Amino acid sequence: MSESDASQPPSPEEVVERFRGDVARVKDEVGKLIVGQENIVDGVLTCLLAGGQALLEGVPGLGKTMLVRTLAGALQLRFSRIQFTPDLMPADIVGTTVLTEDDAGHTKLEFRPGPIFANIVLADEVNRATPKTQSAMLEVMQEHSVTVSNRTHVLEEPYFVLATQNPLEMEGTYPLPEAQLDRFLFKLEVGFPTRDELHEILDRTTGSKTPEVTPVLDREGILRMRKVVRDVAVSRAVRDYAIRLLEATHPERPSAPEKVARFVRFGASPRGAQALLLAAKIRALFEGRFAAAVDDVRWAAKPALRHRMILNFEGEAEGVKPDAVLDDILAAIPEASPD
Amino acid sequence: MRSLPPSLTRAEAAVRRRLRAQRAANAASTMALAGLGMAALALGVAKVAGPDALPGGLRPWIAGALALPLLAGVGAALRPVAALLPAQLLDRAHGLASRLASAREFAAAPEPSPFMRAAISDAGAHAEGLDPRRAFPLRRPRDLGPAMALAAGVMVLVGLDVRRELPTAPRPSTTLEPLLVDADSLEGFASAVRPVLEDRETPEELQRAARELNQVLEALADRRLERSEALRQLQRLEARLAEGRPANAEAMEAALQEIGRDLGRASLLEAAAEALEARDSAAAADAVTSLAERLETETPSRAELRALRRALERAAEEREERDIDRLDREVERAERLLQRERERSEAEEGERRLLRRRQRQLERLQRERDTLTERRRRLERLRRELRQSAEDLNRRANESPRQEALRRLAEELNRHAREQLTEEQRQALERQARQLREMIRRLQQQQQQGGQGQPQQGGGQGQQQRLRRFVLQAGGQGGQRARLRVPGGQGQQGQGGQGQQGQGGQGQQGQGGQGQGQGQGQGQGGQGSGGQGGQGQGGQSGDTVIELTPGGGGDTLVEIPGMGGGQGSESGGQGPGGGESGSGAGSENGGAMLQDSATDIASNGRNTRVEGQDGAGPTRSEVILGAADRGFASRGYGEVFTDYEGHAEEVLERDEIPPGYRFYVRRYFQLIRPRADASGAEAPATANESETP
Repeated sequence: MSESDASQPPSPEEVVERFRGDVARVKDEVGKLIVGQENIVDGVLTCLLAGGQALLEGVPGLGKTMLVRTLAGALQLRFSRIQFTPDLMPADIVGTTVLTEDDAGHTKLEFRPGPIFANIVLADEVNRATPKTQSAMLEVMQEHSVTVSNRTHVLEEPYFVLATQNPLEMEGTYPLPEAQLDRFLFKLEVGFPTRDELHEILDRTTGSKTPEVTPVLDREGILRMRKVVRDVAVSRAVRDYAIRLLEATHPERPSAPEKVARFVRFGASPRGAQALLLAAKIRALFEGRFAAAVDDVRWAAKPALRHRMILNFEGEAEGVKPDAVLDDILAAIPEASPD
Repeated sequence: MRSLPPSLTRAEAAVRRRLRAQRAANAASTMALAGLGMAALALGVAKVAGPDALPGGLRPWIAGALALPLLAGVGAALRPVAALLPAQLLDRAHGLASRLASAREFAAAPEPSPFMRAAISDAGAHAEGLDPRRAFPLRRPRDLGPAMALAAGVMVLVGLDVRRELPTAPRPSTTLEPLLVDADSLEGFASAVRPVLEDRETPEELQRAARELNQVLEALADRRLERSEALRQLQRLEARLAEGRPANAEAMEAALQEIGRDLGRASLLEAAAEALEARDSAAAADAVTSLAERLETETPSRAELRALRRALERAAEEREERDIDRLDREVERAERLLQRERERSEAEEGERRLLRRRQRQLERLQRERDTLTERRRRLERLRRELRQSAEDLNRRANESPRQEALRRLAEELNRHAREQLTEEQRQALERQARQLREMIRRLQQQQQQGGQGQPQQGGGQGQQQRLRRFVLQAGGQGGQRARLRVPGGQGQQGQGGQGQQGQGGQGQQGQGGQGQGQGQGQGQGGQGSGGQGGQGQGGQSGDTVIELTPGGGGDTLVEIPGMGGGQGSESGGQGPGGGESGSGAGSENGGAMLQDSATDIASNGRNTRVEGQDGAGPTRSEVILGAADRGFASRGYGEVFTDYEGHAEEVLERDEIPPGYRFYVRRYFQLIRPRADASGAEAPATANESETP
């Protein structure tokens, strides 16, 4: 590369190409241990690159923790895991200030950061902690900072929280409050693997040789990729489509489909639209495009909005799934604006 | 602003055109429904009520109906298409993930970012091979099917020929109302016609006429005949019967009577003479035949034979034929006039019309002369036979073949008897036809009067109908005569025959067989009993009297209480009443005598004698007025009638008068004809005639 070439910023094509290369490398490393679950991997990567958090929901044993650990292994970042339990206290995850004595014999108060101080935090079974502890995560997840003893500690970027929860075991759990749910960029539902995938899983995990995951992407690379995501162009039509989808989740809006009007109590917040657009941009980059498309928004609609809609009593009583409501919304909202 | 790749622009333009076309087709098909509906409505109105029923006529409506989808299509095509819509459709059809739509939007951005420019370039790279048809395939307009169906309906409507009533002048009502005649009346007529049909010796032409009359009766019974048509057929039938009438049969019989009187001078021919005087040719023939047979076995005296020969010679003498001579003179005069007018001028229309009248008059006179000539020819043949018989008797008085002469005479009388019988049948048919026509005419009058009874006729309509039916059924038998009277309450004209009838009215003298009862409602029925039971009676005002006059027997008088009239009759009969006197007036000196007895003494009747006065006699108007009061039996009235009828006939022949009106005029004169001449001989009477005032 010549000197003049080095002084010029890379073209979008080059940037996108590099982006896609980095993502591919990460996926390859994750794929060494994680069989299938491409959508989950894409979703987790999308949350990482968008700067948001991800909530993984699935029954135990589907590889949620393994996925996060593998991802952390592929990235040259600090990783910590917090197992949420009912007796877990906020200080246990945030950290505490302790009295210490130095070599000169002076004592001082020293902050001992909790496990939350990492680049990738796995909050395992987050719904088992008490609301008090769960709420300790609010500032971290949104502000990427922790305030302890009137002193705010900014966390190092990239900061990425991956929370998991079990949808079946409701005994002794504390459902996440709406405010905390809204802070997750995606809520990903981990499905059961297919038969072929199970074969592959068994092969890889029951043999004598365990695959080694090597870091392929460092902290700077991730930050650079995050910046590239922000540069992706979004047309007004695509943005308008995202907004109309968001509006359609509100039962009081005229564009709301019949199911929304009947089963939804509150629609998604504007954070939902932000999540839609960011996710759409990242998907465009994944596919080598320079602008987000309507299809990207549609792809991101369910993981970005399913946890942001609050069903009413009738919806809960009827067992209505948010994804079914979103299917209706996607079918009802046309791609082109009627205006 | 960056330019988009030409391939993308072209593809977008193509898609935009297709979008406009589809919109135009959709709008046109939708509006075609409205237009075709409007056209169908307009066509329907035009077919049913005519094009003038539509404001402005049919054409503007059809033009509007055609223009409606056209305008809608053009309007839809000109409506702007969203700028991004073609690109979005192309993106979706080709799976380009909004590349084209985003590129179009980015191209319009004032300061596109590097990623925007890269997106535009990327769109350009994917713009090759775009297929507008895939992006927007044209579909059949959603309303095309119903519009086509409606168009087919309109085409059917166009070809449909709806018959409608043109608003022309209302046509005159031509509804044919079948004539309703009750079955009893028709059966009466049919029973009268039946003997003519069943008689095998009836001439063919009479049989045919009887069959025609029977057909008319059947048609009336089946209600297949309308009034005017029935009258027309009856008139035609009467005309045919009149044509077939033997030449002046009445005069012929009068001549036979005269011959009978001449033959009566011989004692041998006394029976035949009486039969001839009674106008019975068959009996006369039998009498002559029996005489011939008697002469084979018996030898009459010379005096008897001489008297027989003289009687035959006298009967063979020709009488003066004044009528024929008069007619000959009139025919000659008419021919001269006609010839002169022909020679004078033919230029003017008036002259030609006069000429035609003269021609018709001449033809009428010639026909009349022909009939008289025929009569003379037949009488001449009879007299020839008589003369031949007399000569035979004279020449071979003692020879046996004298019987042969009498047999030839009997044969001639027999032939005449056959003709007489045929004439009676013809008259019977003519009478039935005339009565049927009269009944049809009265049915119409009754319908016009709404079926209400006429108070002055003294009874309900139904009662009159029953009486009339009774008379019809009683009449129609050969030789019988029936008369129905439904007086208005002021007395009725008496009627009798042969100078023997009694006189109606109480205590008044019946003179000359004619008179009228002036019942006035006071008479309590003086009961006259003449030599043969003639009677006079005065009913109360409003009574109805039915007189049935059998040909050979006494009359029958039927009085129905509540209906009135005075009546004299020939013989027999009992008139109820009695009591207080009635007043009546007789007129005309009677020739033969009154055979009725004097007024019942028990009643308070009063005799009145009217003396004739010398002088010039009454004027014509006085005669007519007198006839209205006293009846149509005086000699003066007969002369006036003859004069007036001749004048009327002449006018009818001369002027152009509708045939129907001619019938009424002749019918009028027939009704007011003289009933009998001054000598007491009754004029030809119409049997079975019913009268109403």
